[in-house]
Amino acid sequence: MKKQIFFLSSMLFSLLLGLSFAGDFRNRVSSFKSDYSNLADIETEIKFGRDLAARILGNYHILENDKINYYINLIGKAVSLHGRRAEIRYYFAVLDTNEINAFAVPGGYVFITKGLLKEIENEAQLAAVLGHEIAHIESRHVIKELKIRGDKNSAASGLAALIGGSTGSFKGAFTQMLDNAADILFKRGYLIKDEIEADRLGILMASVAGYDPSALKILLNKVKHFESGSKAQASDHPFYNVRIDEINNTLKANGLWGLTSALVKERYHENINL
Amino acid sequence: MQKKAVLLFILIFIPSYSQAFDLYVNSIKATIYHDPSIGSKKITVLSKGIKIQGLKLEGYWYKVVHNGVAGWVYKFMVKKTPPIDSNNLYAKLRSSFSRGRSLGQSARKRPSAYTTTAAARGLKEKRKRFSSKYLFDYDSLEKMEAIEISPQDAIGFLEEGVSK
Repeated sequence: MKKQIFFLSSMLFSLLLGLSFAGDFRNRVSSFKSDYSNLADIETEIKFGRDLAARILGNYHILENDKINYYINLIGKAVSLHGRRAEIRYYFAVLDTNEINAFAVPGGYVFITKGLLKEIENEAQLAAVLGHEIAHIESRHVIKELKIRGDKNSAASGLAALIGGSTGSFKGAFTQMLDNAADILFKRGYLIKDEIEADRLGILMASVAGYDPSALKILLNKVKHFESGSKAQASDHPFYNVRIDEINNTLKANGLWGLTSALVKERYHENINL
Repeated sequence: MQKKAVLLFILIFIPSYSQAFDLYVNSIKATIYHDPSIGSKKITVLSKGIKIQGLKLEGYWYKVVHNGVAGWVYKFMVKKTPPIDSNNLYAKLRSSFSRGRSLGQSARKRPSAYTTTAAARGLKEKRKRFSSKYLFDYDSLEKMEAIEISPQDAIGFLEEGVSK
């Protein structure tokens, strides 16, 4: 009798344990499928992002200064190499406007304004801003918010079909989707949770690259005063105090609190002379 | 007999779900730390493409094993899939990219070629539906894409600055 009880208990225990792992396994698989990382999703993201980047440049001019644009690309590329999206080619450009802003476009296109460059004091702050924008792309924030998938059988947009499609309805829907994405960048801004995540990841990427981890916090403390003043153009980066609190938490949680690293001030001013 | 059945059941059923999972370094390099903290002791630095065993995820850090040594790696440097070669990907995509202006066209324009055609056909509703609210400029985009920097140049420039 005891043997039978032992046998049944063991079988039940194993079954429950197995089911628990099975559930975890299913969650992992499900999570993997929903991370927009299959090849069709990536191709769609790049094509979509490229057309969206063209809309940024339809509304702003690139600063006519090869030296500054090259320098921005060197720093941006160096930071992006510390992210995990090896398939993405990152491009960076300075927009010729005194607004204080930066844009991240899916597929690897990053823009920073001349106005923001004037406020930045060193290369560590530049790396942190570019890291923040790269993090929006690494985390696919626009793509996930608009549910842009490459899989035409997905419940979302089936954008691969839209891009490949030649009929009017396909192109119309594609244009509408681009306008929605441009609205996020130009008008509404990212969700605050996405901004906070981009801060965290951007700081970690720039820190791993060797830059001072407090650089973004110092810059945000400076530009937050422009939000309601005459220089206010930083509308896509609201809730500065919430962000700064979260940055402090990130620094503490990742062993970065109180650490000081490279600021690279001289080289910044040698290259950025506005 | 029953003990053997139990043992067999446990051996077959449990291990398939409890094993470690593969992770690949997707960043240019990934440091393995002793603790989940950038300030902690560095164990080793791994190159892009190297496979390691993941044990669990805590916050932004994976606990991993490499060559029998356990440590922690920052989540956003590794993936469950090997790095994708961007050269192959972009070679395939390039032919489908929208291009800059051809002769006689304005650099900045609002409607698409489709819209123009639709307008010529008198499809007023469709013209409104297909018109983007935003101007676009592929000439400037191509200028932006023309700046190519190799990973070696970028890392060399970075190290020159941050090591001073």
